[in-house]
Amino acid sequence: MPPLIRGLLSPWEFRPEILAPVLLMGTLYVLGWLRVRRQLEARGRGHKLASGWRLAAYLSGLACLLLALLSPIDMLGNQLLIMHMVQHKILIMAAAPLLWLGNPFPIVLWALPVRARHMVGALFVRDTWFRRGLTAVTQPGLCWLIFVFVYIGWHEPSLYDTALRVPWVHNLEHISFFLAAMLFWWPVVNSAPHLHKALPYWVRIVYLIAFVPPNAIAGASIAMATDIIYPHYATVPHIWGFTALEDQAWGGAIMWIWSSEMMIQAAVIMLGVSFYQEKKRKLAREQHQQLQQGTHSGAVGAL
Amino acid sequence: MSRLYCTSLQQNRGRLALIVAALLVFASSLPLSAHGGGKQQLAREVVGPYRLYAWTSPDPWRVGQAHTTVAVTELLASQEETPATGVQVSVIYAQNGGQGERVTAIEQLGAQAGFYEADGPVTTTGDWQVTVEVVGPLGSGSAGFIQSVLPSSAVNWWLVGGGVLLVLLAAGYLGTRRTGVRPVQRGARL
Repeated sequence: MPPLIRGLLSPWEFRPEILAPVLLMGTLYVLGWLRVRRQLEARGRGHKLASGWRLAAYLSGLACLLLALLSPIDMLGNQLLIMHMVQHKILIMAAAPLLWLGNPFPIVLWALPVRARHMVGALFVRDTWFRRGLTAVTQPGLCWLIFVFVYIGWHEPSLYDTALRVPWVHNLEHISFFLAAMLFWWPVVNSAPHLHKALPYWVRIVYLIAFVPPNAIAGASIAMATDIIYPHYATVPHIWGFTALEDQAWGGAIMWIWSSEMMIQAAVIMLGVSFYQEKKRKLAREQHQQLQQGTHSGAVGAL
Repeated sequence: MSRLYCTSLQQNRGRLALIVAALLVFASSLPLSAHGGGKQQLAREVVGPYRLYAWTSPDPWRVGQAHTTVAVTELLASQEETPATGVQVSVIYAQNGGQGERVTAIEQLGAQAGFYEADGPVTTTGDWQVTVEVVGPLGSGSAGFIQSVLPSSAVNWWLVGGGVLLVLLAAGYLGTRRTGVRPVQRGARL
């Protein structure tokens, strides 16, 4: 078995500082999901807000967080740029959009005790300072810029090397990646709280595709570099079957190709959703017209 | 619906509070695992038949806080490195001129195979001589480095954490105050 595969199949880490918040997030969501579902059932309504696929998406998002931060991918990230890149992709390209797809805000709100729910709700009342501040910093254009700045910025060699050397900087890197990714995906998924008007689908597609050029430039420049960009990886033991330069080329390729491909896939999904929504609207319009015609002919017949 | 919901919430409030408290206690009661990183002190140091790597954390060392991570590899005929597992790694911490204290490094498993971790008993400030000794079936050897130890940190992180929490609470309270201005965004909703 190749040494890297053997390493990836080894036991996961036990890090309570990660496990505890993820378990808390999961517990609150499941509790809220069950309550909303019970209430909707009691009122004879559908399960649109608390559907099975939303629960699956949210729990998959949490599972991605655990995979990125507790699995051997995390340990190997200190020795291989490839694994560090894979870890970042899981955090920003999988965990963040999956968590938003779960629509966690209203669900988790329902899990809170009444007083806490009112307190959190009060922050989002239409004309509070909090809501106005959050609205200002979550403009879609600004979300895109923040994400690209954080994403590209952390790949600056001295910053990246510091993150590999100093544990708290490494944690800060992961937190900022994840939070910036949450900001980036918010207008794409259009999850609650809805602080802005929903972006038209074509704008969301442009928003996603616009990430490809800066990402490709950064990824390609790492992949094609002939010198070691991140000195840390030149000084670690090379026990996984890659030289430092091979590791760097593969890591850059993962950043360049995988991230770009995922953005294009997300744009294609957006295109599909927009066609589906258009079809639904058209069908509803036709049904409405038929209904109106039926009412009209019925009225004429009655006359 | 809201009355029914409130009753349901009240019934579950205690359970929820218990879960949250249990998770917080669980998180705070366990020591943080040593997790890679650190300042590199030795790289590809040839020690008998082995190659030695060593990192120290935190950077800089402070009184009572000195962690050493050691990686030991063997060089194959193909010039590729492979983790050296099952070797005896000791780290000797000695203040310059003083007698050293030997700590047996704990071998890591799985993806960290070939890595060994040791916590050093550095009790005074100044320069410390750190020697890493490797004894294995293929042979033995040692390598060392000097590391300065600073006084223990004066920052009280509990106080800092409390201050941050207080600021967040104050921001939360102020955030709920109304601006008196209607929002400009149209179509936005909660």
